[in-house]
Amino acid sequence: MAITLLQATLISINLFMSYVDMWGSSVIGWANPLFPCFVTGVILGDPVKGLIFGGTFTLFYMGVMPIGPAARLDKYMASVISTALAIDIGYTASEALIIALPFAILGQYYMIPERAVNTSLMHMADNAIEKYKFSRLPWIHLSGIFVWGLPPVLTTWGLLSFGTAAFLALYNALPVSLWAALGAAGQLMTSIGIATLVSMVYDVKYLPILLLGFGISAYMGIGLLGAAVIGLGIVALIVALQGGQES
Amino acid sequence: MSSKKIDYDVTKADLWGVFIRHFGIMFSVNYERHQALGYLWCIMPVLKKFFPDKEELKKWAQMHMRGYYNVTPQMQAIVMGIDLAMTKGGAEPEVIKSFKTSIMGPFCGIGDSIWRATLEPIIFGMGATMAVQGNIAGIFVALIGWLAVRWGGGWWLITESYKSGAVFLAVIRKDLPRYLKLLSIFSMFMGGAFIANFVNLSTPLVIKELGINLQTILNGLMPKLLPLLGTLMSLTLLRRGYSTTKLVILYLPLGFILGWFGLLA
Repeated sequence: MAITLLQATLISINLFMSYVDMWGSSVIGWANPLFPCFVTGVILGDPVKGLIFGGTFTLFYMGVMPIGPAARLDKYMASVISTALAIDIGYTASEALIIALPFAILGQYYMIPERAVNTSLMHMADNAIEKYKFSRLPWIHLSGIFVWGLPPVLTTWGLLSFGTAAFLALYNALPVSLWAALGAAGQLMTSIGIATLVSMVYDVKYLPILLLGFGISAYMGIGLLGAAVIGLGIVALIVALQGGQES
Repeated sequence: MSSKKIDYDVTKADLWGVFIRHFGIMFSVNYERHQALGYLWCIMPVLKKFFPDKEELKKWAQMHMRGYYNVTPQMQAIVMGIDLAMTKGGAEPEVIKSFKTSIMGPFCGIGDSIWRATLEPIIFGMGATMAVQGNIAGIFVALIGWLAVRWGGGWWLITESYKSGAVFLAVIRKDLPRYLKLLSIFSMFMGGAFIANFVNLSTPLVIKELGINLQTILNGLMPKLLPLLGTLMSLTLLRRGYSTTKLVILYLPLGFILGWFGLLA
């Protein structure tokens, strides 16, 4: 089964929505792989696989967010490309994860020139204000999203339209044991995203609290919502014990 | 100079317009000034009503365009609410400028820990956990949960912060260290739960002659021990200054070799 030009185009539009959502500060959450991968699955006629891959990639890239001054891995292009290839060719989720990693890194390098190009928008805006042409500002601002979105979207479109045969050949050429080893590498990488989240709030004296949260889930099999309830209880307990005093 | 109160009353519709626009504040993000233009674009409709005079409007627009500005987008609702309340109250451009500058650090800290490190992983983590099992309800859990928090919470923040203006800011500033501490405790706790729920590292190593199944032994020691150790290793490297990308490039051969020899799956 080959991906048709129409399907590739629809998938690319779907991917563009992720960039709008990401740079639009999570309007509807399209910037998490869950939604774009599911829609990719729907477009390619396998919504369940899209769902499963979307879930897998969301968990894998948790905490990898290309926002803020530092450029980070581009999880959007990578997730959508790997979901499409996996459905088309038949990779498993962890194989698809590895196949798409080069695109995650490529997408990250796209962001450097994109961010630089957008700097020129600032000077256009300065000029517009200088000349009292305030009505130009929205257009200058909105054009930024195309600078961000078009390079990865066009890459994806080109690859899915014309490049899937190469990936099929690659897949058939490599032995099964190699894929298993790559899968292990993929699992190891899941820890990076979670570690990124933890490092945002890390303080060595709270390490036992991290272990407490871990222990409750690992030993008792409590899910996220249950853990959140317990966590809020602990915070409430601290507030109650401290009373009104400032520490 | 002209520190007089502004007559124009900001309506709900004005605030709604600013709120809708704040979803697009990052479109023109760039190296030099980050969100400066995005911020101006968001509040421009209200500024135009505040300052019908072209010269005055230009002065304010230039103030907002000057210098680097960056706050977690989800926190912009508060900044804009307070900014508009203070501007209407007759604050000079320089006051607003220093308010925006001083708020950057703490608001990024709070914003990242609330939205990025806590709310988003919980909501999408729940949805994704269901989705991985092929359960379509995962999509709806994530979508509805996110819309409720992001739109509901955001709208509440912008209306409340506009209403209370400078008072809101004073309260936040005073109790900020305490809130941040409590938030860190909660996020660290959830971080532990994320490790147990999201990271799936195990070892397939079996030595038939000796009847040893390494994973069974590890499970007896502590369930999910390998995910914990793996994440602590990543955390240590991140805190030593490794970037996420560098870690990915490092883990690819490492995981590959461990997987190749049947030590890790």
